[in-house]
Amino acid sequence: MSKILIVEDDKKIALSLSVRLRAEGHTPVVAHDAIMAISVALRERPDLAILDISMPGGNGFQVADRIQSNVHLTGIPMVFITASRHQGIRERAEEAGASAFFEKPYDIVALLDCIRELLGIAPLPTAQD
Amino acid sequence: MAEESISVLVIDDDAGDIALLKRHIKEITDVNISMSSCGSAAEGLATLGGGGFDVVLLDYQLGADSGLTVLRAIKEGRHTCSVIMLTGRGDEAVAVESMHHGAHDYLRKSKLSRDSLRRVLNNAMEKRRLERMIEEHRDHLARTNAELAKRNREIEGFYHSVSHELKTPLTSIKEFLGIVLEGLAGPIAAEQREYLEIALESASEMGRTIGDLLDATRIETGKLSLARATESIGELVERIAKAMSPTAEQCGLELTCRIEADLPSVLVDAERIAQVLRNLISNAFKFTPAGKSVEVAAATDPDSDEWIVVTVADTGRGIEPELQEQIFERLYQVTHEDYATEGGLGLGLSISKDIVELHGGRISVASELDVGTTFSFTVPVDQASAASVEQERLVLK
Repeated sequence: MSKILIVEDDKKIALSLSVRLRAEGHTPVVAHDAIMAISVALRERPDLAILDISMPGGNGFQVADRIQSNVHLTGIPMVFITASRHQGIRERAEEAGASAFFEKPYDIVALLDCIRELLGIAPLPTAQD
Repeated sequence: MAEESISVLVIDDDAGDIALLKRHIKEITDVNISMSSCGSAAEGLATLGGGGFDVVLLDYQLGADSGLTVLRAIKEGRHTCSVIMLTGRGDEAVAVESMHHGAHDYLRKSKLSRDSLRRVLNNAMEKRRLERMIEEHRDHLARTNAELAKRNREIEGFYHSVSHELKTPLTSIKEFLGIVLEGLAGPIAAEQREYLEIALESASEMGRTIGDLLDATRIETGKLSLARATESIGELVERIAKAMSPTAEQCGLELTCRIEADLPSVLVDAERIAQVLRNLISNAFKFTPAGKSVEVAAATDPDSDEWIVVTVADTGRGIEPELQEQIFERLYQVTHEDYATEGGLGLGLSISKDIVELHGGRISVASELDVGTTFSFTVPVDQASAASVEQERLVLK
């Protein structure tokens, strides 16, 4: 359905997100650092980006800035995920243009709901069993 | 005292007085005194500007200038020397005024002698010594303080990286457990599901513990700050109660909610107050046997319309009176083996207390053995919106 960029230096978390997104019918594309993030984004033109904040060699805010300032990418929803609880990090994410912010370990159901909403997809009907 | 040396500056326009002072000072042999003299206020201040003087003997009647003017200039110039005012004809009022303006002492010219001079000089030196000692202590305290602040930042930084390094693998553990549990990696048998659910619950518990640890560190280092906004306490309480009702069901408990009608809005950090509520409610679950009930309530404070009282009441085993004050202490549970079996670090109540107190509120406990325990805390009414509601009421009338 949609192409989603995952920028996450922890390969295991990136893989778990890929599995979840694929199960939702999306196409995940992964970059493990800030530098790769932009080249993958330009090649793949994702509909939404999930950005980790603390990464070696450039943080999620920098990726967000470059997404925002690129004519081909600007305006795509950006969801930040972070294990950091530094004071003010949520506000910084908002300034960087975040559509949503999740603290690790996140509630995956809430995260997927949020992505669905940002992509304008109707929420899943509640399970009736 | 023989090795001690004092550098004295005399500012006096009377050459005779200067000569007299010089003579007396020469007679003081147990202290090494070096003396300079100036005949006018201007010359005196200029000489003082060069520094190096411990004591100034200042004539009150200094030609056109009053000694007070010079005294003020010395004090404003932040010179560290002691000033002794030389007064004529036993003028007590002048002496008192000089002391008010920062003179260390005064000496009547009529009573000038070797002994009186030695006494005031010694006093002045003693004062200087004490002042210097205080200064040194103050410097020492400032350095210690800076050192502690630096260490605090280091500790905080360390906890941040520990927490980051713990949360990242924890996220991966939880996510893959979830993926397998939901059959995204193929079908699983009922027994496998049961065990994976246990693992997932344990991982979640670990996540909460890490969060508590970080909060406790942040409170300890004074870095916990609130993001306050106008909130409906009723909605907040109901939301948390609703989120926790599945857990209540699992524990075989009934969780009820009682919200007073028309409560005013509160000014709180909703996330932090939610954390306090979750803490108190899960504590209540822990200590209440299956089949009984827990009630969460919000009502106006009977003593003040500036506060809302939120209570979490269980019908559990109760807390011994002598323990009721201690349970809010940090790490209480860890140091009391009776409770250690209940799990957790015991940080929850102390964090809750800190959060409530950061809001300016109070938290307390009332408990009766085998009847139950009620935790109460107060949250501040949003005065601005309360005032506008009052205004509306008046308009409606």
